[in-house]
Amino acid sequence: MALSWQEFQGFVGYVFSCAGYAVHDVSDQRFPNGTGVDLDLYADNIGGKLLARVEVRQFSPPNNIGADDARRFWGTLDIAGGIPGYLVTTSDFGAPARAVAAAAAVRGRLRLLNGQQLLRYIAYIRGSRVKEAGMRSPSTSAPTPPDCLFQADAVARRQTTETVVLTVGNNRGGVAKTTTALNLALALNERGWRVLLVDMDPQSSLTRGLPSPEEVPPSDSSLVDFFMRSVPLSQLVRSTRFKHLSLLPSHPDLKMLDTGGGARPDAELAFIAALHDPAVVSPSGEKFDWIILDTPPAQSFYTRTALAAAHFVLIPSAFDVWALLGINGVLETTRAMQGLMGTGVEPVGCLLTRYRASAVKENDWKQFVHDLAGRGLAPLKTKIRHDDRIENRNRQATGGRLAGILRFGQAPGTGLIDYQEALKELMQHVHHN
Amino acid sequence: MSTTTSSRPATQSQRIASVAEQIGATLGLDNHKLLGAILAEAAAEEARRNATFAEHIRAMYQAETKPTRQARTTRQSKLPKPPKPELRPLKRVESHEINIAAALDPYYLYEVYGADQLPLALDEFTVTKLKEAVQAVQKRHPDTKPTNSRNKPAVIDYVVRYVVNGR
Repeated sequence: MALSWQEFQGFVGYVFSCAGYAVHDVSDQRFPNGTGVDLDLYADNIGGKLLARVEVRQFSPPNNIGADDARRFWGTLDIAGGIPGYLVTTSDFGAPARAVAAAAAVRGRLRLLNGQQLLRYIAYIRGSRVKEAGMRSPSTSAPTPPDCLFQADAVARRQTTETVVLTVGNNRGGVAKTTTALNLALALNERGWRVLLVDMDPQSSLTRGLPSPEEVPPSDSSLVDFFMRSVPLSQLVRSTRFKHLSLLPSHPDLKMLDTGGGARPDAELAFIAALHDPAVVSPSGEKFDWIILDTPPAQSFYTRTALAAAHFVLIPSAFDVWALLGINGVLETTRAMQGLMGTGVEPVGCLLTRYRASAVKENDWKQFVHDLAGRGLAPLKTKIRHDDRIENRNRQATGGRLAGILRFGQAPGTGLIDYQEALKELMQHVHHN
Repeated sequence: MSTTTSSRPATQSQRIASVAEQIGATLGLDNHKLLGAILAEAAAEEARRNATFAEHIRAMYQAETKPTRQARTTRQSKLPKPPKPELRPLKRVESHEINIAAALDPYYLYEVYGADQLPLALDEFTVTKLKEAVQAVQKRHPDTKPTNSRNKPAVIDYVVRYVVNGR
């Protein structure tokens, strides 16, 4: 159903309102507010601090906004005292309009938001702020401007042909996220790939399970140093007792820095840029073929950031109602981060862990498959069968007694064999895309 | 007092025991197990020397191994079923929540798979589960019901008819 131009303008106002702005419709006012300005965006309340002005132009593709429209809005902004402005359209901008915006960008005022970017902005806002216009949470007290999209587009990211960045995430705890991240990393390692594990979980399970080699003096440096003191990630990567397997360690203090699930695009983008910096290599100077990020349970800043930083997300889940419900959260955040990053994280699928076939009802399984299908997903064919040996190894590993016990060559149990199969599927997906 | 004859066919070991018992009675020999083994060895020896006897044995054997109508039916039922066509989602329904505890929603399945694939998607569930889909339809179409709520094709037909056509 097509919207009228008034409805579309109202809708854009609603989007900015959800993004935290106090929105004032000024489309019926005359000069100096009038011509070309439809909405005024305030920080707190209408009439307070004016943050930006918006002009909304509903064009049908392939009709693009031309230079005249851009120039006229720029002029209006100039007259109004150099307030930044967003020219928003359902369509796109022609090269002349972009040239005008580039000229205006010298003073950082005119920003162009085309139909695709508007959809990205909506997706990001939907998954990043309280879902009620004008509502603010403590972590998102300030409005979230669309500028984060432009900043995200400017972040240089690794190509999947060089380094695959995979996030392992599910908002539910106890679904074997850490076990999955570790075992996939070890399986990759067995095949000769160079892997960096990033422990973004304040519980620091991976960090405990992967101690430094004996000859390396222990270090307390962790991601806390990056988030608190802006220490480059390249200085925080440490080796493990596995050759070609490095670790960006976590620390329990990370939870003190967690700002929750709300939008913090600047901090999110800072981590993404840091992780994708080619300078992040192993202590012996090797480039990584794979980077695997382990995430905490529940929606958190670290989950969001890990999803935004990744090319792919793998969702481990036990086949129980609560764990499967946790998938909804991670998918919602994934959509938000796809919005932020444009070409962003792609879900590989759902990996069922701790699987006991006898406990799965056929009707439930079918319903699950159909539920996933509606989200464009499928469960991986491989299921990680319940394996007591993995549980025992986890217990030993998190006790700091050397994760070398997880080595595959030593008569692996069903769970470890399943992880090797899961890796094959994962590799097919990654190389196919 | 009437005597009833069992209609169940004798097993092979029962038949061997019965023949040995009959011969044993005639010859006055009471170790029927041993007699059965000796009879088999003697028959084998006779079949080697006597072509007519051998042919008689073969004819009896073939008469008993000829497949019956029931056996053919059984064999046919063991043939692998043709694979069901793979369901292909036609669109994404991002707002749909993943929840296996939720009631089966035929309107969601219709949205994801379309009218053509809806019967196939419904067919994956048991009749008991399909009752949830029936209830979803009945919320929108009160006073309607499947022609036979215990018959899967009838239930699927009802759900498809009302979900796709609204009647």
